Parts: sequence; C-alpha cells; structure tokens
Amino acid sequence: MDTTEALPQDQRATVAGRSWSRGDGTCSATGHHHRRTSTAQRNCEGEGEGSARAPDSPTPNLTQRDETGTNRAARRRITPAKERDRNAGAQGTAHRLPLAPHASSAPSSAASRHADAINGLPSLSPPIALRRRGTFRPPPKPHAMSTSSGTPESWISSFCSLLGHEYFAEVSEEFIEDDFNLTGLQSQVAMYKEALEMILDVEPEDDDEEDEEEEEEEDESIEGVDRMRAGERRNHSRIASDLSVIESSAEMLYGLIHQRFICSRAGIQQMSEKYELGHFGVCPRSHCEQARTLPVGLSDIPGEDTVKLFCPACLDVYVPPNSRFQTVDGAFFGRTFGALFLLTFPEYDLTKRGAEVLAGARVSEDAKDMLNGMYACNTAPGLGGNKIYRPRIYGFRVSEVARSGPRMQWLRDKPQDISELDEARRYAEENPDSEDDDDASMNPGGRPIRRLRPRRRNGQGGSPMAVETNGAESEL
Amino acid sequence: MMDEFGSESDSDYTSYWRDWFISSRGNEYFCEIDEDYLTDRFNLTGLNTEVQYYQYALDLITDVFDLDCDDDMRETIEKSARHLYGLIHARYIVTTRGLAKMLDKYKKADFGKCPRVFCHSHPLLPMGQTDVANQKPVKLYCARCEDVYNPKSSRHAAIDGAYFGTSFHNIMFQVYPALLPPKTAERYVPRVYGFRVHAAAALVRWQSVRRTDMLRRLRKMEVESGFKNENGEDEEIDDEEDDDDEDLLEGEPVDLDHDVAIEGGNVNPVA
Ligand SMILES: [Zn+2]
Ligand SMILES: [Zn+2]
Repeated sequence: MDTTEALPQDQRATVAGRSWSRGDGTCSATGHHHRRTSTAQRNCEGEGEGSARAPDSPTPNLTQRDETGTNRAARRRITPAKERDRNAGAQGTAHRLPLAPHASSAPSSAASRHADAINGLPSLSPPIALRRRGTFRPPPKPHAMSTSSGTPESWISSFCSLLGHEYFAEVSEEFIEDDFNLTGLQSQVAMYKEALEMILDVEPEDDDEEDEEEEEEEDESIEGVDRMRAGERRNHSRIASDLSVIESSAEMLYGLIHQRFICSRAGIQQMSEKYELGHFGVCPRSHCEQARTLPVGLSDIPGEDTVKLFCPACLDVYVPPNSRFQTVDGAFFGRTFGALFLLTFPEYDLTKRGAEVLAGARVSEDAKDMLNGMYACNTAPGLGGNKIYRPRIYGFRVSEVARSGPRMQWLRDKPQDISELDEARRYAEENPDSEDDDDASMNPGGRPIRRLRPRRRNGQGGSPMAVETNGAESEL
Repeated sequence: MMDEFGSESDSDYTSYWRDWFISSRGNEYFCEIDEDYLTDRFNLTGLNTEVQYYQYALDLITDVFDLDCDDDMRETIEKSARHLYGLIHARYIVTTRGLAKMLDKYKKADFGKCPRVFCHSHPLLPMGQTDVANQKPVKLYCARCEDVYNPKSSRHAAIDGAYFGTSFHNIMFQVYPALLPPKTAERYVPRVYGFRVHAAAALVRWQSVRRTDMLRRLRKMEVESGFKNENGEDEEIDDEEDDDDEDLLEGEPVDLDHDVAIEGGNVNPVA
C-alpha cells in the first residue's frame, strides 16, 4: 500500500516533493535532450556506448513524415523509433536497424551532458541532472528493442507511465496536431513552441545539412507547429536552464491539453477504459462500498489545487489516498470531466462494484427509469436511507437536539422516493394549469427523457460530443 | 495531559508488553491502557469467557507471565493477549483517562485525516460499526462531515472495529464539546462547462432544503447548530429561482466565485 502514509507529515511532504521533481525531470527521457546537444554529441562520439550513432547525426536521406494524413507539414521526429525509420530510409531497407542509437537514451545523455561541459556550454545544474538520472526509465534493452516491433516510448507515454501519473490518458497526437484543440494555450505556457515540440517528440530543425529540405517543408507548412517554429529554427544551442523550463512547460502544456482531450470523444473513451480497469481507485467512504471514482479538478486553472477523486455514488470529492497524487495538478483533469463522464456513459451501472465494473456492468433493462436525464438507479446510489451514518451511544441514537447531535445528515441524504427529485413533474402536478413541457425535454444526446414512471425508453447512451457542443455554445 | 506523561514513565518498568504492542506497526490506533485499569477486575467483567487462556493472556499483558511453555502455546496465548487487549481497549477509551489519551492522539491526527476535500484534512477517530468482536473491521469517523471512512492502509483495515466500539467517538464529542468542528454547507457540485448537471443539482437542492429545515428546527429549540454561518442557507435562495426548465445542464456558466456563492459554499478552496 502507500508506503508514505505511515510517515509523519513533514517527511511525507518531502516524499511528495520528490515525486514531483521526478515528474519534472522526465520530459527529457526520450530524446529531446539528445537533440539539443547534438553538436556536442558529435564531438563526443565514441565516448558513451550510445553516442556512436547519435540520433542527431545527420543522415543522408531524411524522410519526411506526414503520418496523420492531415495537412500538417512534415515533422521530423527524434524519438529513436523515428530515427530508425530515417536510418532505414537511408539504407534503402525497411529492416529495422539494431540499435546503437536507440539504446542510447540514458547513457548518451549523460555523455552529452559531459560533452556540454567539454564544449564550455553550460552543463545542466546538478539538481536537474540528478533528477533526470533518477527519472530515466532504464533504457530498453537492445535485444528487446530489436525483437519487439518496438517503438521506444514517446514523450507522452513515458510521461503517463510515471509514478503518480496513473490517472492520465495518453493524448493522441492527432488531437494535439489539430490547432483548434490548442486554442488559447500558447499564452498560458512559457516556451510554448519548444514545449509542444517536446511533447510531440519533434526535432527542431537545426542542421545546415538539412536546410534544403527544410525549405521545402517550410513552403508546405503554413500553419501550426511549423509556422511557429520558423523564426528560431536554426538557433538550436539552447542553454540548459532553458531545457528545464521547457521540460516543465511541456508538462504544463500536456496537462492543459489533457484537460481538453479527456472531454473529447476519443479522450473520454480512453478514460472509460481506465475507469473499467480501476485505474482511478475507489471511494474511501464506507457506505459507498468501493464505488469507482473519477479524477477531477476543482479548478480549470493550473496551480490552484491538486487532482481529486469524484465519487458518482455520493457525488462528493476526495483527496486521493496516495500522496504521490498530491502533486498532480487538478486543472489537468478539470472541472468538467467527472460530470461529463456520467452524462456520456449513462449505461454504467453505478450500483455495481469491483469485478462487475470490469465486466462492464450496464444498467439492466428493467432498471431504466429516467430521472432528470439519468437512470434513476444511478442517482447517487451511495446516499440515503441506511447509507447515512446515525450516531449512537450505547445503542441510543444521539438526538439532533444534543449539542453534539447530527448536523450533516442532509449531505448524505436522498429522498426515499427518488421521483421526488423530478422537479418538473412535481411542478406540473402542483400547477396543473401550467404548460406541460415534458415532451420538450431532451437530454444532450438528443434522446427524449423518459419520465420516472411513464413511457419506455429508446435509444442508447448520449453522445459526448452533443454535450460538449451544448455546453460550449451556451458558454459563448 | 501532563500527568499522563508522569503515569507512563511511572509504569515504564511494568509496561513491556503494552509498549511493544502499541508501538508495533499497524497498531497506531491503540492507546496504552493503564496498569491500574487492567488490575481492577471489575473493569474486565465478562471478558474471561471471550478469550482463550484468559488468565495467561492477562498475565502477558501485565508483564507477569511466567508460564514455561512451547512456542505454539506461547503463540496462542500471544494471540489471545492481543484480542484481550483490544476488548479491554474498547472499555478503557470511554473512561476519562482513556478519552484523554485518545484525544491526544486525535490532536496529532494519529488516526489519519478525512479524505473528503471539504473537510480540509480534519482529523479522524477510529470507530466500530458493532460492539461484537470479529464482525466488522475498524472504520474512521470524521466529526466534520459526520461520515465514516475506510482506513487507507490494509494493516489498519484488518483491525477489529469492536476494539474501539460504536460509542467512543460520539462520547468524545459529548465530553469535549469544544472539539466539535464548525459545520459548513460547503460542498461539491458537479458541473459540465460551468453548468450544474441537472440530476445532481436537483439532489443538491433537495438536500439544501433538508439542511434549511434542520437549521429552522434547531433555531426553534434554541439549540446551537454548529454552523459557521447560521444564515448560510439564505444565500442559496438565489440559486433556486429559475430551475423550472428541464435541461440537463442548468444555470449560467458564471464566474467561479459567484457561482460558488450561490451554492452556499466555497467550491474552490483556493479562492
Ligand atoms: Zn462515495
Ligand atoms: Zn469529513
């Protein structure tokens, strides 16, 4: 279990701090670092086992990549995998090279840091270097890499596999490459362009040998990453302090993109898979009986609060049990995701627990009464009746009149007859003359709402996009 | 609290087993039972039938065990002693001295802190859901939200709840009413792009009516409600105005601070 929980508070803070800095250090895990120091690296070829064929060494025939099929201009990637593609191209064979360059990840960065120092470039400050060493995942074994079809980890997947980052979905490159999805983020993140490149494992173009090709690329690239890059692309001698800024900017940017991604169709789908697999943990409240929770933020603005867990059974939010999550920014999940998830996947039976969720428990056909746009059985199943704590002393209930009597039961209460919550119907009943607007009711999926008792349902789950549109429009 | 210190050091030479027990990993919820309490037979009434090798177990707890026996026997007696200690513990912690010791631990948050965000790390107290042994594991009670939580650690989750009992945590606040944390209406309201989600919002409104009713009852009886802001519920009336439309998402996506105010609590702890 949580190894840190038994620690006294102050020590715990240290541990948390450490895991945060671990996070800080990671960004360079996959190669941005190589690229930065490419000149230096060339100078130190042969020094580290990995630098014999540094990813940045110019290759005669660089292949352009336009893998998403969008009109995004070719981007060259520096992840070892992409590098391999390039090398493969150079050799005119599809066969994967065995791996000097790629096995290099950790060692060669150490080597390049070393080279930095040799060349009189500022080397990484010790804390960063240390952190980085700590965060490096062990470089994949050459053998494993050559046998598995094996793409080494991208920045995104290595970010998501860090300790404490278990709640994150892997944002698809497609999503990131659509400028529309990044609207407004540029002003929120320092060194935006570089951070974005780091996230996408894109190599800033910087070698003279590549100029010709770059010019071609430039012609085609009229938007997005490439356009923004145009100004500084030859200025590749970033100093080390920049790198650490870029690293933390990349995390911030990824987090902000993530906030949006998990509210998109693809993102929320990915989160539902994680939900089913139990990645988000369970509600600590005893009466919720291990109901699965969802990661949420209490603010959409970064730096305000850490990630929390929203329990659909009691509609409350909790601090994640493990202190490693207490360094993850809540804005990276945002205020919308939790509730949107429930609207998007109304078919999840929230009364089911554990393995049943894994089995994909859905609301059964005979429990499909609708209430306020949700299945009635899914309305806070952890609340009400015997799921409220009622204090007793030697078997006697503590009275409300007592100074120490119960004051908070309303928070865990729910009407015995859940249809009491159908305010519109009640209103209609109490005001028989008023217009009956039942038929006008639509949920975001465009599906007519079935009243708690009358009518049979039709249609499947609501569409997440519909909700999104609804919300977004009203917000404008 | 000072005299506890005194009594502990006084009994140092006799509390070998108890020292070991309460300092073992996983036993953080237990306090040390006084020698005096253990040696008064009256306090142990009825426990002799609950525990195997009762007398040996008691001897072990009080460090007077001197039976020459094999390891299996020793292990059995050891197990009985732990169980007996727990059963006595449930009785001890509702005595004046026991309450004081547990209060100390509560103040140090030895039992953990409430995981509910809006309880702001309020310290917890251990509790049982039944007073009968071997039925249900220990839970943790938060006096701020008046709810019950599972211990985070599996070591704690395996402790018998009867070792704390169903009354202790409630007696604590009766005896020390000053400990009662202020209550607030602060709560989470699920939102999508700033809009409250109808299903949840309808429940929130219903619950708010319950709270308002309770506060009215208490006022009538002139009982202190314990709410920081007795009029807190009034702020929410704005909220109830135009809810007669049946959209899933309701209200206007307003500025957070304002938004929060109309729900009667500060949703954003930072704001
Ligand atoms: Zn819950
Ligand atoms: Zn609480």
